[in-house]
Amino acid sequence: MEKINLLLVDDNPSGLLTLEAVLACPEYNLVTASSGEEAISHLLDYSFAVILLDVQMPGMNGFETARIIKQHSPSRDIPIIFITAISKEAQHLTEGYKTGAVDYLFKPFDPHILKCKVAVFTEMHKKNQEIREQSRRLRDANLALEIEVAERKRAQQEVIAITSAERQRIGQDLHDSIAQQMAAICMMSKVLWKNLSEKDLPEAKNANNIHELSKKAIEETKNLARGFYPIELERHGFLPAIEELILNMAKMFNLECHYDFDPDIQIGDLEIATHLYRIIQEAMYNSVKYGKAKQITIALQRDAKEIMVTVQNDGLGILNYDPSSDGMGLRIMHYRAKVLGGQLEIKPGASDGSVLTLRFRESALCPKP
Amino acid sequence: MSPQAKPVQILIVDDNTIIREAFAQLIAQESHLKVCGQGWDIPSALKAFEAVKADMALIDISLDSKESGLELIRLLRKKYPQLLLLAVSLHDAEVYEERVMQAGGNGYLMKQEAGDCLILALDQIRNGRNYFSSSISPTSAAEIHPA
Repeated sequence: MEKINLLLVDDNPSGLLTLEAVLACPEYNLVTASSGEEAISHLLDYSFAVILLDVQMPGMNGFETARIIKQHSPSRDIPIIFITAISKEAQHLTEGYKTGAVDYLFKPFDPHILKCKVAVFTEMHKKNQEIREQSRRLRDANLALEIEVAERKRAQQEVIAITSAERQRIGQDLHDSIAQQMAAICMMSKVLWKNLSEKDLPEAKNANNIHELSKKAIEETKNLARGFYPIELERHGFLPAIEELILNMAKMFNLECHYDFDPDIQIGDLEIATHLYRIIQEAMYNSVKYGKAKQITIALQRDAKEIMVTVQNDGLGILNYDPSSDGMGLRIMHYRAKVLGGQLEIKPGASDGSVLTLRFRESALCPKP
Repeated sequence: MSPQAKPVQILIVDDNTIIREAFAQLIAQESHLKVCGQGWDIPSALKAFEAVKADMALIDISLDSKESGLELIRLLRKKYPQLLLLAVSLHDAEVYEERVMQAGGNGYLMKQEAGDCLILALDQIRNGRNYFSSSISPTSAAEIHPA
C-alpha cells in the first residue's frame, strides 16, 4: 500500500526530531523541511495529506509560507496545522486561520493529541483519494461507454447504409432487368400466340397463358422492386413517385385514395424524398393493416415556415397501432422524422380513423452539402 | 391500307436490347408497319432519326436510368413536328402520361400492355388520334380499356 506523505516544517532540528519521533509509523512517509522555502520546494515532489508548520522561523515565517501554499492549485487544499510556542492570543490565532490553517497546536504539545489530529487529517486525505479514484474510474467508464455508444451508432449507420444500398441494388435489378425481360417475354409470347393461332394449333392457348401470367409477374415484380427501392424517386422525382405509390396501394388494397400536394414544394434531395416516401408508404400500409381503412387522404402542404405531411384514414383508429407487438415500422417512421428534424404524431381522426402528421422546417428541404 | 402503300416507318428507342427485339417482333407481324431503325439513348436515337426518315417512334421514358426519354420526346417534337411519338414504359400510365403529353408525345403505352395494344395504339396515333388513358382523353380510353 502506498504510504501517506506528511510534511513537517521547523527551523529547529530538535523540533523536527520530536515531530518525527511522535509520528513515526509504517503508514506515514515523513518529509522534513527546515525552512518555508524548502517546504514549498517539496510541494512539487509530493502530494501531502497534511502539513505541520512551525510559525516562528527566520526568513519566511509560517504564516507567509502558508499563504504561498494556499495560493497554488494542487497544494491549496492541503490541511495545515500550525505549531507555535509563542502567543496564544486571539489575534495570533485569527491570522493563522486567515492564511488557511485548519488547526493549531501549541508547544509543548501532547504527543497523543498530535497523533490523533494527524490521524483525522490523513483519514480525510485517504477518503478524498478514494473519492477521486472512484470518480476517475467513473469518468473512465463513462468515456468508454460514450466511445462504445458512438461506435455502435456508427456501426448502426453503416448497417443502414449498406442495407439501403443493397435494397437499392436489388430494387433496381428487379425493375431494370427482371421486369424488362419479363415485359419482353410478355410481348414475344403474344407473337407466338398469334403465329400458333394462325396455324390453328391448340398450343396457342398455352402461349396465351404465358402472356397473361407474365403480365401478372411484371406487376408483382414492380411491387417487389418498389418495396426494395422506390426507383421512381431517383428517375422522375418525388411527386411522380408518390403518385405511383398511391395508385398502386389503391389498386392493391382496393382503397379510395385522395391526395393533395402543394406543387410549389420542391423536394429535390433524394435522401429527404426517400424519408418522406417511406413515411407515407408506412402510414398507408398501417392504415390498411391495423386500421382496416377503406379511404386514405394524403396531403403535403406548407404551414407558415413548416412543411406538413398528413396521412388520414377512415379506419378503426389508433388503438390498433400496437407499438409493443410490432413497433418496428413506427419506430423507423419516428427515426426518419428525426432525421428530417421534424415531429411525427398519430392522433384519432375528427370523426373516425386516425391522422398521422409530420411537421418539419422548410429549411430541411435544402440540406447542407 | 392497300398492299402497294409504303409501310409506316417506325423507329424504336429503348435502352434494353430484348425489349427492342420484342417490339420489333410485334411490329413485324403487321405488313403495314415496319421497323426502320433503333436507338438506345439520346445520341444514338438522334443519329438514327437523321439516318432514316421515320413516321413514328416508340420511346422508352426512362432511358439511361434517367428521365431522358421525356427529354428525347421534347427534342424530337421540336426537331420533327410531324413525327408521331408513342411513349412506352413499365411505369403506370396514370402518373406519367400527362408528363408525356406535355413533352409533346402522342400516346402512352405500358410495356405489359404492348402485346395486346401496341398495334392498336400505333394505328390510332397514325390515324390522327392520341392514345392516352381515361384520365386525359375519355374517348380513346373506351376503346383501349373496356371497363
